Amino acid sequence: MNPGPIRLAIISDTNCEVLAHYFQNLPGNSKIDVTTSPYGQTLEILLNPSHSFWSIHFDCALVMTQPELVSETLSKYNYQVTFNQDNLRQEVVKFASVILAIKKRVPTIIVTSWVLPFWKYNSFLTDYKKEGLQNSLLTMNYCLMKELENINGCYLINPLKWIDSSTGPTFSAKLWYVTKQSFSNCFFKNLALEICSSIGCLYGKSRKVIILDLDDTIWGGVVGDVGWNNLRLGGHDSVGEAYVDFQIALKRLKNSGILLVISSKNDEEVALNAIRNHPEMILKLEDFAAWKINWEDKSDNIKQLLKELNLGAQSAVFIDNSPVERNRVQVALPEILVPNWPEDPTDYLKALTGLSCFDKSFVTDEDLHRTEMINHENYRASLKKNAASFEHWLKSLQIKCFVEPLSSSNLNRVVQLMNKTNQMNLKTRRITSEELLAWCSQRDNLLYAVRVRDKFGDYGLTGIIGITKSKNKVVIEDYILSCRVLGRKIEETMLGMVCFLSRQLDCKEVEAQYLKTDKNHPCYQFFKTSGFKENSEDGLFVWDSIKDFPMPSQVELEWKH
Amino acid sequence: MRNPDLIEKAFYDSIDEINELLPVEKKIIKSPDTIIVGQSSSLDSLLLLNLIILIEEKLKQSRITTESLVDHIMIIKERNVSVQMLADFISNSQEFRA
Repeated sequence: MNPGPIRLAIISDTNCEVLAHYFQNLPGNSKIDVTTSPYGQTLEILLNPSHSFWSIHFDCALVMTQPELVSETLSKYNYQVTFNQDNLRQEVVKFASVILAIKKRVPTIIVTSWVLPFWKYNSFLTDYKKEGLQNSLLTMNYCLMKELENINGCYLINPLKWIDSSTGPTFSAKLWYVTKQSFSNCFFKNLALEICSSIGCLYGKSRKVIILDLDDTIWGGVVGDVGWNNLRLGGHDSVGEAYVDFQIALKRLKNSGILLVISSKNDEEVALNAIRNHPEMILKLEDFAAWKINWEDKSDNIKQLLKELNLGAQSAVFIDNSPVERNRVQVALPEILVPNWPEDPTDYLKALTGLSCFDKSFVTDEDLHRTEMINHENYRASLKKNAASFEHWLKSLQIKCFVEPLSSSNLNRVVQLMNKTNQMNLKTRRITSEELLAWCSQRDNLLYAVRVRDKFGDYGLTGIIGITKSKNKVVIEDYILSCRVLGRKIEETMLGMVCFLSRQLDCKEVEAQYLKTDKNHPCYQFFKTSGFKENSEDGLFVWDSIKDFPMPSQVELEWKH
Repeated sequence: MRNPDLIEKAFYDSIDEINELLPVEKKIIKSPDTIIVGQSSSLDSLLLLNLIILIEEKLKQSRITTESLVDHIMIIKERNVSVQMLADFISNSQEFRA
């Protein structure tokens, strides 16, 4: 993947220049370069790989067509009495095959499902009948969904979401007749926001943690004033029901790997008692990865929470009903996403669902067990406090590393780790599944994934080593380790693995070229103390493979084939 | 609200929307003297049409006009048309019909 701005192609049979303007000028979206297909050339572009449009190497394509372009049958809908649904299906299958063909050139393709403005429907009662327009449109969308559902990197998205969330009309007949723009500006704005967010998520920029206030945020009322049994939560109460639905949505996010933490100005015991004892609480104490419940400044508390979780502010979303607290946190930590929170609790669920920053193209085992892993980490930390020394503590953890080659079962997690690890990352190579598979298929390239476990539990797949054999040396392309296992001698163990592989491949040395980013200085620091020799100060580290690399005694290593 | 005020509001609200599509250096200043049609305008033809349609939709919502503003713009002969000139043109054409 290109390390610069993400290059997005918009391929549409309608005028999408306004959409492109939104992509380029929405605040914070400066990292997307947009190219729109020339008007009236959609099919030529899709069908012709030599078209000049493809001279740009796009990272992502948004394919947005009108159903009439794809289906000649549908385009004649208003002129004929009957038509053949089989023809409709065949036309969609053909269109899907065109999409699959451009998949070879573009790693990520987003396709919008088909919608029509209401004025194109001419019968209300018979729309869902066998030859009704809605029936035909559903057939087309269903058929397209089935054709694309198993294609990696191809996403069919539903514009109805923005139709509901648009602040104005979705379609404008005037815009259509005058400029051939099929959707309204406000619809395009919502679409641009959503796609930007989704693209960010696809490339590892999704938010990982929600920091929640308690009073009037996850329940109604101030628990310190009214007591936990008088909070508005559930029951025969419209507001209470809204809070329950909001908690259910939060729980669903937690179950998909998003961490929930609490930052609340309260007496800790009073607040925790409410969570433990209120019968309508959906969120239980074990659903929270951490909390800071006290009367200190929230931004200070949040800084500490993020430090404990080893996460940056850019990973966090802060939800608080108080505009004062939101402003304080936003000013102190500008990278945190602080959404404008509605005043009415019945709007909370909609506001949470409207945040498109948690989107994922897949959910890994690590995502599902993230909160559990954090809780294990808390046990480890308490053990560390009482240990005689760091070495004793490390030994007592009984750490095991399992090394495995890239496979279909770990591909998603490996790609996820490559795209989101910042600190312990030698070259910060961002990559898609297809690009990684292509890289691994080359003869001299090898990639290994490292799973880590200790007596408290599984850390999951947390390390990646990618190497290239180049003549008589091994070049490290990827040296990636999740921050969750940093400082446990896994770093050294992984370098030991590479040195072992170097000997196996009859190579004389191992070379690691550090590529600096804003965030990977810890990786440079580690290599400087690793025993590898740095050639001058250019970040090129070398190990002579004749020497044994000192493997840490506290970590057991097992190769799986 | 008087018609001239409603017309001005429709213009400025529409300019706000168009400004979301423009980089900082090209944003349109909300002033009666700002040129929106002609060589001195920072809008290309598509964005100009977009602006006019937005204004037209707002005027229709306020029931100030029910006619196509886009058609009226086509007949303006001046080379550079400001916000004020266009607003006066709409206002006068309404009075003319009244």
